Amino acid sequence: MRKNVIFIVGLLALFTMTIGFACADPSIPSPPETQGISISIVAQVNGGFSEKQETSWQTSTSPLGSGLTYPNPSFPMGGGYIGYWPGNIGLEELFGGNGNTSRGGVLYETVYSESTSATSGTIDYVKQFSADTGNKLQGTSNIEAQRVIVFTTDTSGRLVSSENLMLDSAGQFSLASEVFTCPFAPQVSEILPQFCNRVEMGSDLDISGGSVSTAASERFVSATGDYPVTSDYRIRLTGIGDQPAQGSVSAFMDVQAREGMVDILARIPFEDPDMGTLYVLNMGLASELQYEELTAVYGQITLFEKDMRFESGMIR
Amino acid sequence: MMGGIMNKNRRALAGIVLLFIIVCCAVGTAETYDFGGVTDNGEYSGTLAIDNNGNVAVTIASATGATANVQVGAQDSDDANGATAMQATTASGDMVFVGSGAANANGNTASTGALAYGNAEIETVLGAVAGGTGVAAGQDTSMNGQTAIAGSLGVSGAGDVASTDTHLSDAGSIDTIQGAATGEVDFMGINAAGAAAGQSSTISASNGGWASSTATGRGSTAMTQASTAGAGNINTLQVAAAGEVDLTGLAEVSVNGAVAGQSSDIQSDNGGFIFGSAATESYEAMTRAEYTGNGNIDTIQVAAAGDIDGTLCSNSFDVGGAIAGQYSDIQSKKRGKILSGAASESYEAMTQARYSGGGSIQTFQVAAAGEVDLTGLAEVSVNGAVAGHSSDIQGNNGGNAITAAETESYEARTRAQLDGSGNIDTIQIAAAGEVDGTLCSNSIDVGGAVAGQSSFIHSERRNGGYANSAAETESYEARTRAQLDGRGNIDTIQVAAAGEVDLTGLAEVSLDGAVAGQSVDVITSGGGDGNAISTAETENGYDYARVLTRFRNGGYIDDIIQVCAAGNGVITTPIDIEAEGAAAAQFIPSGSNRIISRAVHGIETARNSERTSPAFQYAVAGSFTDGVTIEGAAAGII
Repeated sequence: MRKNVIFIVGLLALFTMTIGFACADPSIPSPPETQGISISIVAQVNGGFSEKQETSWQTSTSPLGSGLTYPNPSFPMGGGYIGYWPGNIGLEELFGGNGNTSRGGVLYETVYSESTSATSGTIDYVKQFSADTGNKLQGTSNIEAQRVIVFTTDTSGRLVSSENLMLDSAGQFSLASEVFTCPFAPQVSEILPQFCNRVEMGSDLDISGGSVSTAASERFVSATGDYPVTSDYRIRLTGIGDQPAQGSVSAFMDVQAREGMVDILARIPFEDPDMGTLYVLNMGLASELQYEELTAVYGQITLFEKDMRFESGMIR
Repeated sequence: MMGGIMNKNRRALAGIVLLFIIVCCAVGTAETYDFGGVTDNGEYSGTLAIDNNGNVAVTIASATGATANVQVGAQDSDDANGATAMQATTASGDMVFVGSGAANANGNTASTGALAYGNAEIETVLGAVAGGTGVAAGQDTSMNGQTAIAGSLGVSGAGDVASTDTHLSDAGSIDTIQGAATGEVDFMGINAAGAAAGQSSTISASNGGWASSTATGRGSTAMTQASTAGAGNINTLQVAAAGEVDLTGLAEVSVNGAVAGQSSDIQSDNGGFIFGSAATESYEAMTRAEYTGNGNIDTIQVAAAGDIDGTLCSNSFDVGGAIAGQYSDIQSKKRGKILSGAASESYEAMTQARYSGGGSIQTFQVAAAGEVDLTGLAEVSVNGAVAGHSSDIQGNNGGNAITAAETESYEARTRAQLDGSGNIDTIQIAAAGEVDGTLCSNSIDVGGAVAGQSSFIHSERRNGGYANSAAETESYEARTRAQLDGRGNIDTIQVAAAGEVDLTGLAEVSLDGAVAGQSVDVITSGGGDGNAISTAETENGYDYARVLTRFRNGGYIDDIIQVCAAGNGVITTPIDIEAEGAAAAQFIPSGSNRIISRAVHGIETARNSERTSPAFQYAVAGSFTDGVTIEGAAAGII
């Protein structure tokens, strides 16, 4: 049996992953007013425990509920071709309504949820949660949740917990120089294509004893696109002392990443800066990535550890 | 005359203009689309043509504001020659933009646009074409508004850029025919493999505007600009091209580099400025005409850089470097200034004509740097820099004409000055470097700097005027001068040179040092003084020689020749003077003016003063040969 456990741990270690996708995820700049939420929970209980949390957040460069606008000024030219004329003050004024801006419209949605309950046992529960809607540099997070739970029981008590982290993003094309401060980024791709990405990660566990820790974090609000959008989830379940954990645990990651392409048929600069530069564009879907992955173990569990990372951006 | 040229060019232009005839195209299958619509802020209309060879052409018209109106008289996209899009449009509103652009698969782009705002109106015919070997865009536009801008831009895949820019900054109107092309171009008198742009524009401004054309490529840049900072009008025909260019019209020029030119007329109450330049990495040439005060400028200017061959402002030339030339006429009641210059890393030449007060300047000017063969104002071959002008200055309050050339060690300059009412009529040339040729009737072979002038000064008041020429090295200096106090005339030819000089004309001179001389046809005055003087000296004046002819309280001097030199060499006049030091001599064929010669060698002096003619008078200081070698100072008459 011990051999089997070791085998499973080794297998899990094999599945510990950090995946990244060459998407155009440019982040989204924060609105002028930002909010911060932080929660700290410490509970030591002999009996029952329950915790439910659901956080959802939508943020967009366009009014919520409306379509994502092309960058201003853009217009259909027939045949599926798009004219995009940044810097032209006449056309910027002409097409400047309906909330469109110099960057293509971008929408980010995220959900973090946790549901935990324990009965007929001794529970040590510690949780730190924070949400910050302001711009974040790499290494910091807009959503961050960390939990440590130790559960023991002498009877038929159970600890049941599920945790989910979802990030959904979509955006129209944008001029790279409008998105990145790095002066070399436009040399890689002058125009960022449309994109549509969705990543969901989480875990479920049902144990009669054991020690579990989880860490979830996301970063997608930034003044520039110089940093990739990230979503991280990690879970570690062990036994207590010499006793393995008993029950079942699973962790999953689902990704759908759709990347557009922008074919610049013509880039025509005009002499006066107020007349801008005309781009004649042909756009479409260039890449679609589907990823579904679930790891589940049950029985006597000495160690279950899984680390998942989603990273998306032009500069990674 | 220039108005005629301009009208002729405008008509020729209108014949060419809508332009699209230019490019040899690979015919492909094209898609064409019309697009347009209404937004919350205005309306727009346009066309798109795309063929399967990678050629794209677009045109658009838009207007914003409550009174926005876009009337498209004709709109067309077709695949007859690559991708073509054009339209005839009238648009009005708060902000109006019409534009057209084209691109081909070789990376060539051409665009043209007109933008006006503040109760704006634009009436235009514009279009663009893209083909296999080039692209072109152009417009024929009338526009008005608080601010109005018209521009055309051509960019080749090889990096050549040509552009035109027409601006109105504070209410008025612009009428322009303009375009830009890249690739294989035959356009507005330009045959080029590179980029070319041109415009024929009239700006009617209540407070300033400008028109400019620029071309860069193959390591060369050329630009031309006409602007007024105050109220006024600009009427201009401009071209700029980079690459391998054959230009006809403003000038006949073949260039492997860049060339820009303009025929412009500015009328303004408070401004005026016209500028042209051409440069390579090592050479630069520029022309400039300006005034402040009411009046006008009428000019033709051309600047080119690279390997240049052609005719410009009546001067034929062959240049490896940079050259600029202008024919300009400034009429103003206060101030005026016209200059041309050329420079290389080691040599510089500059010519200038200006006055303060009411009057006018009419001038031909040329400046060049590099390896230059110039025929016209002078017949010279120069490896260095050369500048010259033929100018007529008429002023109520003075005026002057200056030409100078210099190297690190040598300098030569010439100046004609009028101190009151009257006029100066002068031809001046200055060159630095290795100079060989004929200059102001003197054949020269100079390693250093040389300047010369043929000047006539007429003074109507007692202020008078003068003409002088000077040359100097670090150790030697020579000057010659014809001066008049009061009413009268000066008519003189002068030359000054420094360095290793062989001069034939005024005298036979061969020396290492500085030499100056003049042939005075006449100095005359009704009641004032007049004189002709030439001086030469070595370092700190140790050896000094001077000859002078003068009259006082009215009189005249005619047909005298003066030469002076400092250094080590030989002057061959009626006698040979071989000297190391300073020498001066003059030949007086007639008259009874006082003639004086003076020589100084250290503390030793010699002087000769006569009233006789014909006479050859001399002064020598230093070590000289007169049958035997003599050390000292001597002055005398033969």
